[in-house]
Amino acid sequence: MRCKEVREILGESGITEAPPEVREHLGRCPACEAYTRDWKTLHAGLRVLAAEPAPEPMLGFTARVLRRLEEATGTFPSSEELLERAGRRMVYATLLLALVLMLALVLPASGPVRTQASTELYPPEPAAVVVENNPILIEDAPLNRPPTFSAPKGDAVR
Amino acid sequence: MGTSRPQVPDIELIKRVQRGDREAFEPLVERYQRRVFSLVFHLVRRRDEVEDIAQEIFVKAFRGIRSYNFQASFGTWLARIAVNHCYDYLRRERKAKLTYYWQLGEESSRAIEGHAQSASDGALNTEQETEVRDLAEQLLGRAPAEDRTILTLKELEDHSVEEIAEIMKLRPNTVKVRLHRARKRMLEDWKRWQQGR
Repeated sequence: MRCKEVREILGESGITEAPPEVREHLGRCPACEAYTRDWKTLHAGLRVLAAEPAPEPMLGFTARVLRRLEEATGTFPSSEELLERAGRRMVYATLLLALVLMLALVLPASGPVRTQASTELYPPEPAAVVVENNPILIEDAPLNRPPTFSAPKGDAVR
Repeated sequence: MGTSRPQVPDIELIKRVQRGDREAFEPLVERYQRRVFSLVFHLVRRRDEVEDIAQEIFVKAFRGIRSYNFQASFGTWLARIAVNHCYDYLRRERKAKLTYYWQLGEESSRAIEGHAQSASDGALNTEQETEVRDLAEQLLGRAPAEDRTILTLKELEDHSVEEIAEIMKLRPNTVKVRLHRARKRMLEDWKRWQQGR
């Protein structure tokens, strides 16, 4: 029998209930004998500790537990409540996202505001250019004619 | 002659609590409070802390009762919560406190060693009992939380290897190995202590 097995058996059953082969091993193994002696002492100490009476629950212990439960559940939500809360937040977030997407799809890409803005940003080419390249327009639209006050005719193009 | 009201079975009470009936938890606390007090006291060995820790354990049990699936007995399930809670407490305590030294003089060390024969005969006198008790208490206090927990369940709470396996969610063989290692480490610690290391 190996020392480890002997010590395991001694730990579980105790010395008095040890089988004969264990006792035989102890007779010829000084290390296991010393281990047994020490364990007997320590085990005796543990038995004394085990026999000491534990404190009794004081009167009103249950009431205090229930009060603590009320406080605890009031302050800290249970795991189910937390899950429910998280789920509700997910639903709200999804709804909001869907609304934003819908608005993006439904609203026109350009509106009156955007058109006005674009006209401000990109003013039309000077009328003179159009006029010079389009002789037809010159005839049909006299307002597009370049100014004629003092500049020579060719200068209106620049 | 008064007739006592028949006791509502645990299963029925647990089902009611699981459905949200908080009042059904009250008789469960009444039934198991002594067992929890004993376990907590043996594990943490602080009389002043027992009630507070026991309250925390019952609050944890109440919060987690919906996860109780009736596979183990309610007592075992509750003991599991208690052991885990005390284990965390012991680890926190161990981290927080500085190592304390209990002077084990050469004389008292020899005297304690000499008690082995009396101990096995069950014939320790009061003084010897106090000495071996103090030794065991100090060694348990110095032991890592894992060793302390498993040895307490076996030696102080008198649980079988199978019961410990169920409480700690381990295989019985693993419990045996851990118990053996815990005993070995504790005895080695005692030797180192005697040598003043």
